[in-house]
Amino acid sequence: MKTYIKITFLTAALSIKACLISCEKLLEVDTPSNQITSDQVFENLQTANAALAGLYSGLWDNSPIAGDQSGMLMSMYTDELSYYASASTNGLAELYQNTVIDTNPALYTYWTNAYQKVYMANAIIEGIEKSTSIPIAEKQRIRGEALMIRSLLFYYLQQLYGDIPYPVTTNYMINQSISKTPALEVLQRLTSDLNEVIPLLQDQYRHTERIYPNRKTAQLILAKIYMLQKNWNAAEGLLKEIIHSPLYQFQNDITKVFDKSGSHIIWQLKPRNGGDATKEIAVFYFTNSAPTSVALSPHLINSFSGSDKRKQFWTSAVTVGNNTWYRPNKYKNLSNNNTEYSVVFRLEEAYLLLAETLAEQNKINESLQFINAVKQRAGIPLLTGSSSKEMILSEISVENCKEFFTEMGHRFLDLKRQGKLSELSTVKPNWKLHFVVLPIPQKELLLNPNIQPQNSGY
Amino acid sequence: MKNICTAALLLLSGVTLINGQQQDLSKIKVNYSVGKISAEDAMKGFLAENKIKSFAYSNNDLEKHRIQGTKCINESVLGCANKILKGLPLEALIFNNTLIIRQKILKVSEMADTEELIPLAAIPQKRNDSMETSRKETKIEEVVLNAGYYKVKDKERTGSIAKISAKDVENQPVTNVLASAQGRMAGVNITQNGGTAGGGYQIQIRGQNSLRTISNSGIDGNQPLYVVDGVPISGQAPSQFAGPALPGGSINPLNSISPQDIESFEILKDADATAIYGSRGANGVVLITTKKGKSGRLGLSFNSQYSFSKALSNLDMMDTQEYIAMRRKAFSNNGVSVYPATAYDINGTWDQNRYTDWRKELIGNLASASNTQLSLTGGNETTTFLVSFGHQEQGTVHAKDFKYKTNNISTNLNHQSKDSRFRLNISSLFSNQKNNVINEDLTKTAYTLAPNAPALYHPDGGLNWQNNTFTNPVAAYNASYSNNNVQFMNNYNAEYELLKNVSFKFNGGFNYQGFEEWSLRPNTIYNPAFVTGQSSAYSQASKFNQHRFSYILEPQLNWNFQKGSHQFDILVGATYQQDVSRQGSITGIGFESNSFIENIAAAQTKVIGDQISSKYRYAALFGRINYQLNKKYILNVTGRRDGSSRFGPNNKFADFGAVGAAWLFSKENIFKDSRWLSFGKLRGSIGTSGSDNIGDYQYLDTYTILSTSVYNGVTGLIPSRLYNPDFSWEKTTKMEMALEFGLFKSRLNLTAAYYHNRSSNQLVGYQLPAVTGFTMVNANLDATVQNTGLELEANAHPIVTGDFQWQTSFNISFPKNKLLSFPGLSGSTYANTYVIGQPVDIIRLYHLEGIHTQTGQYQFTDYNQDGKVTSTDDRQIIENLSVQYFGGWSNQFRYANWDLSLLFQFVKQKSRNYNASMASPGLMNNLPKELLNVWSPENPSGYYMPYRSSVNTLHSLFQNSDATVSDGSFIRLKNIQLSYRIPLKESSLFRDVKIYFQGQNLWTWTRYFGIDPESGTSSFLPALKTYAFGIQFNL
Repeated sequence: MKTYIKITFLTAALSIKACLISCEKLLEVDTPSNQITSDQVFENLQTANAALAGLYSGLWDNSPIAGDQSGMLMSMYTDELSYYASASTNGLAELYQNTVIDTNPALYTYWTNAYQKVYMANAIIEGIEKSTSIPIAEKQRIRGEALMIRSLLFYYLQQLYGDIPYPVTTNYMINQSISKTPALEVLQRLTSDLNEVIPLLQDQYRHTERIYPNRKTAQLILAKIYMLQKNWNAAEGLLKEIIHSPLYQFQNDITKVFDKSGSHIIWQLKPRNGGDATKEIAVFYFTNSAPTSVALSPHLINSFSGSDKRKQFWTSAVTVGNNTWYRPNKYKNLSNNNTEYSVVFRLEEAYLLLAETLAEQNKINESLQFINAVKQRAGIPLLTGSSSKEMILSEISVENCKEFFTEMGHRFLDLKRQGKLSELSTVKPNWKLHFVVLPIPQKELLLNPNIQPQNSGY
Repeated sequence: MKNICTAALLLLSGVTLINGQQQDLSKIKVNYSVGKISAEDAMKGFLAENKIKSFAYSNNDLEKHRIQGTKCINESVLGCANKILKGLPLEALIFNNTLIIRQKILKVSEMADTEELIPLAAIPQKRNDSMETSRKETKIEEVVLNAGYYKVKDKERTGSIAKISAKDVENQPVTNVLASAQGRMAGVNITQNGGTAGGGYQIQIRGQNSLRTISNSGIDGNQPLYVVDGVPISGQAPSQFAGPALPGGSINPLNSISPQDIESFEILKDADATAIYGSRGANGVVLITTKKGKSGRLGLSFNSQYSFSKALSNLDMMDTQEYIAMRRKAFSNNGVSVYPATAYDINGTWDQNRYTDWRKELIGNLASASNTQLSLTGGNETTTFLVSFGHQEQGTVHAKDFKYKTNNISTNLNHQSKDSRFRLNISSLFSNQKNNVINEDLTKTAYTLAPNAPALYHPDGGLNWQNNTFTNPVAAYNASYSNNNVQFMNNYNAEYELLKNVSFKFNGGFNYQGFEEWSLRPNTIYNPAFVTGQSSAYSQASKFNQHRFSYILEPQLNWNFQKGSHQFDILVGATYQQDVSRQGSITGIGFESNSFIENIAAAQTKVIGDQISSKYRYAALFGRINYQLNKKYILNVTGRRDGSSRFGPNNKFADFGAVGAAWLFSKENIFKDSRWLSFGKLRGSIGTSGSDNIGDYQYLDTYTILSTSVYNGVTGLIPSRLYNPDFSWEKTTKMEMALEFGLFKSRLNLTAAYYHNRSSNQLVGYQLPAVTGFTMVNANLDATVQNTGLELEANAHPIVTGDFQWQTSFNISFPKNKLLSFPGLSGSTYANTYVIGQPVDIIRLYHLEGIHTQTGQYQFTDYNQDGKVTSTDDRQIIENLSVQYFGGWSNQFRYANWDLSLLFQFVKQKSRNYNASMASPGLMNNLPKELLNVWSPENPSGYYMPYRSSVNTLHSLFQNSDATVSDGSFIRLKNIQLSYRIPLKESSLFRDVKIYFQGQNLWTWTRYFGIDPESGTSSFLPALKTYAFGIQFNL
C-alpha cells in the first residue's frame, strides 16, 4: 500500500520535473502580428521608410505643423482669429483672450505632440545609425529627413516657449530629467544640425508632389534661424539660392496658391487617406449659422483693401440675419479632396523673408521687388523706391499677415522675429509683454523639476 | 461530523423537508420496542408510534437490512432511531426539525464536493411533505467553502474567505452578481460605475495594492482574478468604442453570468487563501460556482420578474428665472450690455419664460426590465443534471428604445460511478448579451443645458434646431453604441480514486468569447443646416470585434492520511493556460444612404484598423499541505511557482507561498462545558502572492504598425513603447490574524480580522515628462504600499422560535492605506501625486480661503508668498479620498409565509464634488441651486465668486482647490425584499409558489454635493433606483 503511494508520488514528482524543464518552452510566444522588433525595422529599407512614414503621418495629424495646430492656436493668440464658443474646457478661449495659464490643455497637447515627434525622429536617427544593411545613400537621406524634422520641431518649440529641453536621444532615463537649453544656444545647435542636414538631402524631390522635404526646405529653415540670429548675410545667400533654383516658379494665379501641383510649393503634407480634407478646412469651416468656434477677426478683415484678391479668394463671408462673419477659405475641399495638401512652406515665404533680410541690410531697392511680387499678385498698389527701412519692415509685417493668415503660426513667428509682438496690444486688450513666450505646461514642471523655473510672468 | 455534513449538504442543496406542524424533534421523548424485523418496517413503526410526521428516508436503503431488535424508554428521537439502526450502514440525524435516515458515509474526503459524495437520492421525496427551499433557521457551522483548488469547512479554515450564497443574490433585479454583493462582504469594496446596463464595476479587495491605475498605466493593476467553475476569465473588457457610452468604457466580465445561475460566490482575501493562486492572487480571487443538479424527483422552477428603474439625483438645479438672472448678472459683471449674438438664451432668441427640467426630459424615463428564468433539475443516485435558461431585457432612462438583452443557458451534468471511485462533473455556460445604448451619455447635458432652451421637437415630430441656434441633444438618439458578446465557458472536472485516500483529479476548461461592437454615428445627429448634417456622406460607422479563446489544464493529485490524532491532506498540481485573442476594427465614413450604414463595405472611405492577435501563456506548479492535530490545531502550507509570457527572459518565473494556522480553542477542556461559547477559533496566516496584470508583450522593444498612421499610402511604423528590459514581478506580502466566536449555541457569531499587506516592487506606468516622447513607461518602482485594516463581522439569530424569526448580520471594514516608502519620490515623476506616509489616493489642492472682501475674487493661500498662486508650491492641501470605513447591515424577518429582508450599505469617505466638474459659473450652462449663493457686498457670506460671462481664470484654480472635496459618505437602502409564499393545498400541482417585491437603491442618505455619491461622476448616469415584482413557481 505504502509502496504504491510512494510510486505514485515519485511518478508525479518526475513528471513535474519534466514539466519544469519544458516550461521555459511552454511560455514562449511570438511577437504580435502588428509589431516588429526595433533592430529589424532598420535592417530593411522598406520598414525604415515605414518608420519615417509614421513620423510624417504624425506631423500631418498632430504636430506644430498640423493644419489645425500652430495655424489655429497662434492665430487666435494673436489677432487673426476670434473665438466664439461660449463655454469650453479645451483652453482655446483662454488663448484667444490672452489669459493663458500653465494648465492650458491645448498647449499641453501641443507640447506633448511636438516632443512625441522629436522622440520618433530621434529613434529613427539612432536606428538608422546602427543599421548595417541599408545602402549608405539611403541611410544619409533618412538621417537627413529625420534630423530636419527634429530641427523644425525644435524651432517651433523654441519660438513658442523660449528656453526648451533639447533631447537628442531616446533614452528616457536621460530625458526625464533633462534641463532646458537657453534660447540662444538652441538656435546655435539648430544651425549646426541644419548645416549637417543640407548635404545629406538632395535638391531633387523624392516625390513629384513635394510631400517630402528636400535640401531647399532645410535651407529655408536654416535661413529663418539665421534671421533670428540676425545673420542677415547668411540668410540672404540661402534665400537667394532657393528663389533662383529652377525647381521653383512664382505662382501668379492667386486661385492656385493652395493647389498641390504648383511649383511654388517647397514642402507640403499629404492628408492621411486619399480624398481626406485638409485639417485646415476641417477646423475653419462653418456655414449658415454663427461660428461655434473661430472666424477671422474683424481687425484682419478690415485690414484688407477692397481690391485685395486675397480677401476675395481666401476668405468667405457667412451672413446670418444682420451679422456677417468671415472664415478662412484658402483650402476649399471639404470632401473628395484630391487637389489640396497642407502647405508647410511656399515660395512666397522665401520672397518675403528675403525682402526682410535685404531691408535689414538697407538694400531697400532690392528688397522692394520681392514685396511687390506678392503685392502684385494680390492686386494691390506696389511700393515705390522712396521708402525707409522701417517703413519697408512694417510693410513686410503687414504683408506677412495678409499673405499667411492662419497658416502655420506665421503671424506670431513673424511678429516675434521682428520684435513687433507688443503691437498686438492695440487689438488685444489683455496683451502683456511677457506673452512673447507661452507658459511651459505645469505637468512638465511637476514631472521634471529640472526644467523649472516657469517662464517669467506665468 | 456526519450529521454536520448532511446539514451542510442540505443547506447547500437548498432543499429540505419540513412539516407544517410544530413538533420539536430534538426535545420530545419517545418510547419504542421492536424485534428482529426489516429495517423498513421498524422505522415505519417507530415513526407511526411516536407520531413523527417530519421525516425522510429511502425505502431502497432500509429494505435491504434487518435490525437486531431494541427497546427505548423515554429517549430522544435521535438516540432511539440510532439504537434501532445499530450495526447497520445507516444513520439517523435531525436537520431542520426533520428526522433523516440515510446511508452512513464512511470517509469524507476534504477534496470532495460533499454534494457529489452523498447523492440526495438517499432522501426520498415523500409526496405528502411540503417541499420548499431552505429556511435557514439556525446557522449551520459546517458551511463548506470553495477555496479554489480545494474545499474547506468553514470551521477548519485557516484563511480568510468571504462568501455569499444563492440565497443572498436570488431574484435581485440586477444583471451582475457584484451588484448584489455590495455591502455584504467585509473587506470587499464594490462600486458600480454607472447606471447604464451592461457596464463596469470597481472591486477592491482589501484596498489598493498597486499604484497601477487606468489613468497612469492604461491597465488597472488592482483587478482581482475571476475564476468561474475553475476556469479563469479575463478581467479586462476588450471594448474600443464604449468610452462615451459606458463609464471608462468598461464592461465587467461577470455581466455574462446570470446571478440566478450562481450557487456561491466566494472571495479569497488573505495569503493563506490566495498564495495558491500565486502571481494572480495579490488582489484577491473571486470564485464563482454555478448551480448543480439535484437528484430525486424532477424539479422545475420558473421565475418571472418585471421591474422599472429611474435615475437617482441628489442635486437641485436652477429654474429658468434663477438661470436667466444669473446670466444677466454675469454679463453685467463683465460690463457687457449688448448681449453677443451667440448668447441665445438671453439675447431674445430663445423664449426666456420657457422652463424644461432637462433631467426629466433626457434621463427621466422609467426604464423597464423583465427577467425570466426556467430551470430543470433531476437525476438519480449516480447522475444528476441541471438545465437553466434565462432571458433578461432592460430598457434605459432615455426616451428611446435602447435595450440591454441577455440570454443565458447553463447546464450541469454530474456523474459518479457506483463504487464512488470515479466522479465527473461537466458544466457549461453559454451567454449572449446584446447591449444597445445611446452613443454618448446624456447625463452631463441633462444637468448643464439652459433651462429655457427650446423644445426638442417641432409639433410635427421633427427635431427642433431653433433656426440653428440650438444643438438639439436628442439628435444624439440617432447615434448608438451596441455590442454583442457571446461567451461559452466549459469546465470538465474528473476525479478518480487511485488508491484508498489517494485520488487524481483533472480540472480542465475552455472559455470562448466573441465580442463585437458597433458605434454608429449617422449624419442625423448633426444639425441638417450644417455641412456635417446635410448628407449621409458624413455618416460614420465603426465596428470592432474580438475573439478570445483560452483553455486551462490542471492535473492534481490529492492524498488524505489519518493516523490517530494526526490528519494530513496533501495536494500537488500543475496549471497550464493559454489565452489567444484576435481583434480588429474597421471604420467607414460617408454612405450613399444611412440605410447602408451597417455595411461598411458601402462606405466611401474605409479605414481598416489593426488586425492583431496576441497570446498569453502561463504555467505553474502548486501544492498544499494541511495538517490537523486532534482536530484542534491546524496548519496549512501552500505554495506556487509561476511562469508567465508577460515577462522577459530574465524574469519569467517567480515563487509564492503562505503558511496559515488555526487553533480551535473551544475544543480545549476548559471550554468543553461552556454554556456560552459554542465555537472559538484563533487563526493567522502569512505569505506572498503577486500580480502579472500588466498586459501582454510589455517588455518587448518593438515598433507597431499603425493603420491609422498612413503617409502617401505607406502605413507607418510607430515605436510601441519606451523599452524597459528589466521588467519583473510585483509581490504582495500579506499577514492576517483573526478571531472567530460562536456564542449561545451559535446564535451569535462574531469574527474580527486584522490584516497587514505590503506590496513592493511596484510595476507601474511611471509617468514621464512628455519631453521623453511618451507620457509613461512601465517599470518596477521601488515603492511599497501598505494596506492594513480591521474587519468585523457579526451575525445573529435573535429570534428563532415561533412564527416570527429574525436573523441579522452586520459587517464593517476599516481599511487603511499608506505609501510606506518610495526612494527618490521627491525627484520622481510622482513627487506631486504621492506623499510618503499618506494613502495613495490623496490629492493635492490649493487652499480656498474665501472671497476677498474688496475685490470679490476667490482668494487662495499663497504658501510660498511669491505673490502668485501657482502649482506645486501652492498646492499644499492634502485631501484623502480613500474610504474610511464601509460595510453593510442585513436583516431577514420571517412571519408565517412572509419574508422580509433589508440590506443597508454604508460608506464613509470624502469625495470630489460638483465644484470639480462644473463649468465656470455664468456661462451658458445650468448650475445647481447652491450656485445662487454668490458673494456680493450685500451678501458677504456668499460662497461663490460673482458670475462671469467669460471663462473665469480663477475658476480653474477653484476647481483644483479644497472646495472640491467634501463629505461623500452615504447610507443606502441597497436592497429590500418582501416575499409571500402562497399556502398550497396538498393536492396542488406546485410544490411552492412565491410572489415577491424587490427594491434596489430605494433610499439614500447623504450630504454629498453631486449627482450620486456612489459613482461620484457627473458625466455618466449613476446607479438606478429599481422596483421589481416577481413570481416564482417550483413544480
